Amino acid sequence: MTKDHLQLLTFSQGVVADYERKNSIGSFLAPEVVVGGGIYHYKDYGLGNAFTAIDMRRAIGGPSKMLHLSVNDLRTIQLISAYWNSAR
Amino acid sequence: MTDLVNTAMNNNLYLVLAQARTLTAFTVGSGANQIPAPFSGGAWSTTTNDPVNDINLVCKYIADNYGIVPNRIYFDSGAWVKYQNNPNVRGRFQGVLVQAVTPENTVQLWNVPMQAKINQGALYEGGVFSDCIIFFGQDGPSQYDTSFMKTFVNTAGRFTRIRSWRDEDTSSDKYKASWFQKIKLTGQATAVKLTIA
Repeated sequence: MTKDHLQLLTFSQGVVADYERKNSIGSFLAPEVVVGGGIYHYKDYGLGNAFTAIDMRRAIGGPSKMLHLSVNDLRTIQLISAYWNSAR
Repeated sequence: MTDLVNTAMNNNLYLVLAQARTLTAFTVGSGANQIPAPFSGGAWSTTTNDPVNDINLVCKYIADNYGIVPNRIYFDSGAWVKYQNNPNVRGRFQGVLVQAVTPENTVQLWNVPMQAKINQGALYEGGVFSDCIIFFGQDGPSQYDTSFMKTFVNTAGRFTRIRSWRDEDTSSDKYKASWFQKIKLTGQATAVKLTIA
């Protein structure tokens, strides 16, 4: 029979925050982004041309210009990781 | 539980670094993933090469090609030692009371003020590496911005459930700590990796 431990859960989340303060390399390179559920959308800028300058001026009465970002819209599913411990 | 969480986070750091290292290391030249001389390609043990100029050329490359100005720089501990001891870096600190190169004071040598972080040795780097990664990372990133990497999680603090049960075969109480996460490269164009020799 399994038991859920809410206090240990809160404690573990606090230890994560402590770890991030002491060793902030992981959050520096790949910071946490909280997503709502198991399936979520995000943008991958890949090797695309993200924000280079485009001359947006147009002549009076001339055609409009369109800004374009090269980006992939992706969707993925969260994977679960589990860590185990046993107390003898 | 503290040890378990810290071990999990150390493993997570390895995963982040392993993905960051999938970037192709830049070299000297005029092709793909290359920057022309006087860029040295990260050969900072050669005392005539100038790491500060290399970093400035990388910033210019990213800004010229992708319109993003990098704001962060990561050093493996081995890369930092080579950077710190290069005479072209030390030479810029002549005349100061204590001639030390630190992540804080070296920022003023670069053409953009990037935040610098140095990893703490092989134990945390998952092996012996000597990489330097210059990249853009937004403070408070979302699912949609162009930061180099992100870790998508379901809740702040990662863990979503802690369960335990009694395992009589091993006479132990067993604990299972679960989290959901996905580490993704989301803006490789904003990052350049140098392998420092």
